[in-house]
Amino acid sequence: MRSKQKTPATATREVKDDTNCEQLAVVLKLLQPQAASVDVGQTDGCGLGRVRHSFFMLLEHFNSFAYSAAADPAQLKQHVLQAPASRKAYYLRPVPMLSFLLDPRYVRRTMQMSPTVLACAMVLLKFMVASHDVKSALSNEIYENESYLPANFWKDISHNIMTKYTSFRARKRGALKLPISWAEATAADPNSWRRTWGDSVPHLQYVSVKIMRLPTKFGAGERSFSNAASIQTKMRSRMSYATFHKLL
Amino acid sequence: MYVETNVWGESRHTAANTAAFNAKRIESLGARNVIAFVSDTENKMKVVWDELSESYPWMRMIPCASHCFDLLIWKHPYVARPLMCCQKMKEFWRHNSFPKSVLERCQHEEYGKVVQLQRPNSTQKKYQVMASKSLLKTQVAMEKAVVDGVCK
Repeated sequence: MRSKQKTPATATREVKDDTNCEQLAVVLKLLQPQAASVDVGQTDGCGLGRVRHSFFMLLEHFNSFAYSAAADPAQLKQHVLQAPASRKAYYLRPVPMLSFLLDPRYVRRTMQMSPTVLACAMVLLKFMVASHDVKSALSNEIYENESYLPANFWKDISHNIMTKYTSFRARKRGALKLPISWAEATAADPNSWRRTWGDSVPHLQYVSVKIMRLPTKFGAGERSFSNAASIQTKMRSRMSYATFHKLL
Repeated sequence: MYVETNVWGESRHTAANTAAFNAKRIESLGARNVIAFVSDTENKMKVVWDELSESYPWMRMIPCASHCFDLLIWKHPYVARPLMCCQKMKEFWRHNSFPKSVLERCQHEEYGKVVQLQRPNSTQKKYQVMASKSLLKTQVAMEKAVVDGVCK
């Protein structure tokens, strides 16, 4: 069903009213980086770190935006600055933070990061490598269950992981000492960067690859919802759930 | 990456039911093989995250980045009103053939070409920004079309 349309008189009035276009231009300027961020969340293959980066770039944009041009600047500014703060809990979860820290594109960036958030990311790093060691031990088929593992089983990757992480961040290990390995063009694609330069920190590379491959979006699920809405319409409301499921 | 769509039928979409459904799928894939769970950030899913984190502590719960960015500041009236106005204007110029043809003639006179008005999508906000941009590009031609008296 088509929504109620404007009458020609209303359209004429709104075209003649300059404030509409002025407001739209201001809103557009404000929202353009946000739309770009949505794009990052949708398309980037190794994007969790980039999502976190975009969030901070967005915060900077909102903070430095010229609100004086807006009609109701104080209220809009207050809202725009409060909104990201309320969503911080999502962007500053340990996974995007760790992904950001392990992303070669952002090693040189110094961005505000509270010690608590950093500590959480480090806990996650240790947890991920410990989890990998448990999985490796179980895959040897000596132990049937996690509960049978002895307390002192050999933790191949967990061993000295923090030293390796520090070497990575400090760029002081093997080929990572070479300036070319951190050049912007070299680090542009983190996956190929890891294949070429990641051998210097092999155990850290394992975690990096795993965390970089994590999906950032729920787009596939949303597409299914959209398809479902096209299949089950007002005219086809008697379709059985079994048929509906098959069509999806 | 594993994606599954399931029709729930009569069973209720509670957090407990959703968590049980997800747990069943995770077990079928091998619990240790699943390292992350991505979903939107509605309240029900937050409860599901808590329940799954309890059963599978190594699993990471990831909020959908597009949802998070999408819902950031769009609801403020100062932001929502011009975008809604833009959407209605698009509908008017696109769906009425006579004003549309006059607008195209004016665009041809002003810019030497026809500037297509993009259709804003209500769910993907980046398309609303793109649609607004295309509307602003043709502002002069719109004003000319209105002054010509086409819309009377």
